[in-house]
Amino acid sequence: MKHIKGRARLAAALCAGLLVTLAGCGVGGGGGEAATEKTKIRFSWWGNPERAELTQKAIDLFEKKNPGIEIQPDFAEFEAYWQKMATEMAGGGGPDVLQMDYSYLKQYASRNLILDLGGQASKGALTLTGFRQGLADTGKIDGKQVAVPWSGNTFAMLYRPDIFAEAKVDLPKKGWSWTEFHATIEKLSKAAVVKDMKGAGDYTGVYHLMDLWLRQQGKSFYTPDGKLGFGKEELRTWFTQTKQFRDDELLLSAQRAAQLDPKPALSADAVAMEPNWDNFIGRYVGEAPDAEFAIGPVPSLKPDTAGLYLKPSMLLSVSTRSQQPDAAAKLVNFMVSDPEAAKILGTNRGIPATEAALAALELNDVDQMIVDYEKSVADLMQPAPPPPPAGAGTIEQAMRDISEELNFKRLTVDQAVDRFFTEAEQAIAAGTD
Amino acid sequence: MTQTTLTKGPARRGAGPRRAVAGPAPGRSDARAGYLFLSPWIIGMAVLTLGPMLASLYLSFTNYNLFNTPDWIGLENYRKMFADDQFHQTVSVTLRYVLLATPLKLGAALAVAIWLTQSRRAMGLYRTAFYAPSLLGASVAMAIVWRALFADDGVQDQLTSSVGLGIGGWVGNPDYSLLMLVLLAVWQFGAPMVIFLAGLQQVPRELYEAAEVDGAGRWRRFVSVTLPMISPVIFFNLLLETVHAFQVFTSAYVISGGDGGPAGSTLFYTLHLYQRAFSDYRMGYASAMAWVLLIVVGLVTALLFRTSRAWVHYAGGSR
Repeated sequence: MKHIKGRARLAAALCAGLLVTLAGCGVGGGGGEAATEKTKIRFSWWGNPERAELTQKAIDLFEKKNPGIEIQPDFAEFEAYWQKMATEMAGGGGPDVLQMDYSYLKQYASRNLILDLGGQASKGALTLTGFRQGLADTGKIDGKQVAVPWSGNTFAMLYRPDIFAEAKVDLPKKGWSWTEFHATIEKLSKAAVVKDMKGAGDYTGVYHLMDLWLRQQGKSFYTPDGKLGFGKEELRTWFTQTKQFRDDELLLSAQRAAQLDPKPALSADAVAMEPNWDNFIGRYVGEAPDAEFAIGPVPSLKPDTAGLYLKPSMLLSVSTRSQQPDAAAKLVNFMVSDPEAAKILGTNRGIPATEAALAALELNDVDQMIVDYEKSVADLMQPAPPPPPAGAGTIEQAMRDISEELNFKRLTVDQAVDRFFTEAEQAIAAGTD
Repeated sequence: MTQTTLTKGPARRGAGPRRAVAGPAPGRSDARAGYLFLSPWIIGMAVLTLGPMLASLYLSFTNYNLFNTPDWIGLENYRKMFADDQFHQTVSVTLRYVLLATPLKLGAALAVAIWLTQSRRAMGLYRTAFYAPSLLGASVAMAIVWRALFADDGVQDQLTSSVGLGIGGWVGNPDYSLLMLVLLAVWQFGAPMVIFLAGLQQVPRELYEAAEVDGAGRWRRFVSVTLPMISPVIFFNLLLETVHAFQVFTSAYVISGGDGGPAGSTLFYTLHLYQRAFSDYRMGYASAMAWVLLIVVGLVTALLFRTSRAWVHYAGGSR
């Protein structure tokens, strides 16, 4: 009995000790803050350790140029980043400056979580000019500058010129039609330069390509108020486009694609073409150094309207809760427009959004390829669509899943269309609540 | 059980003099010490388990996306859930998994446990070897290895092709991908196996000897002696593994890259719940899903307990 009591006392003493230490930490932290009196800015972004290293170098330079400001950086992978951000923001916290994605912009702006930087711009803490074509307005919602574009990219047809040459097929060229695109797929699949290599995968699961196809008809995937911009008839046409190819097995099979996942089919010798964002080429070159890659334009319904636009691939926003909006705006400005920062950051986040930052860069071969492509289609570029509604991520995934089920022949085109509309309407309703 | 013996032992020894001096006080301070030792668990339970559970029960009746103040909508989430086709698909995928994985895993565990009770050389080595998969199985690395085994031209493809079934790798085939996850679960039979082993060693030898004298063969002895004698252990394992199977998540999450593919064939209930909560931020809806799962698992457990009266034999009990 005594023994037990003794232990209890010991445990109590240990607990008490722990509490004292915790309290001690708290006091110590408070004291330190009071002593330095630096403006502290929390800055969060998503990315990998390589990006973290480059970002840290840029932050070091910023702190050297602005001795009164101290940056507290943190980062996570994309998915974890947004989970953490949502939780922190919901709890009333969050960073001062955050890396923003176009698909989250509307959600954060409509909940009044990100600051209108117009005030900081008029005070001179932030320059909002000098953006590349069409990017300037992409950070605005209802006239409020809730984000500043940091980098931009364009949709494209990524392909393997070495395979095209061997199969003796014409390369994608500006103004090529969907019919030519389909003929190219067929020729490449029949040539099968590498065993089982197809011309392309079933592109009907690629929601950004459908968006371009709709834009070529003067429509859009989403209306400005965040509803679906097309009806069942358009989607039926879209899914039917590749039906014959699916039946004749001229596309990358869903089975093979599922096995390759998460490896992309283009760098795995499984397809010769892939519609995707032009900056993905950097990743593919890294993954398959022996293969040749090139960037071409997407097919179009009319040669002069490709529906293309420069999309902000990353933006920077300042939290409405920030106690130091001026210092935060300064950091945003530095990251986006400072030539020295641009040199450090390179094209890790894509091609910079401002002309000044782009001019400061020394481009490698791959970067040059992207810049050249964007220049070559400059006359086809249109203004970017408004940011997508809050459920857009779910809808993008639904499009991919439903197209996959079409390829497994688990759905007919009509069933696929109905299921897409059910799921999309649910996602949009849930996003606007 | 152990607690009572621990406290009773010394109390009885020092009963006489102690009671005269301190009266009932030691009992109370015993309790206090007990609670003090329990406090980490009690605090953890209240703050980390009960609190969030009650919060999620409340949220399940609301519309909540992390940013808004939860908005009371009554049973709307539950109504939407039962009207959602994807929800029905996840239920069917999960039930098929539970019905396949649980019996197969228990069967494998029992068979190996019986084999391991026979004395052989290097028995310890075998026991360790059969337990090892359970240590590895829940890991992300194992799920990746599994993917490779079941890819085109992988081990499984070569085996099935050699017996004339040219169906390709199961990873990319929605008709077989669930079976692949079932096999991953079955392969991790180590934990129930160890419990079966303990149970088998408790069966009195003389029962077997008596049965043998009565002319019972191997099978007869298994059915009439072994099974009834270890039925409490079977029941325990069945309960544990069923509950466990309902909660399957990691293997499907890693193997399908988080989307439950191909073609939704591995979209388990928990995976769907995770997507709704952390991709769509539909926290109210996801909480409702979690509560439905809890209720269903609770009902299944109650049902198992009820049937157990008919087949579980407790030695020394009235049955």
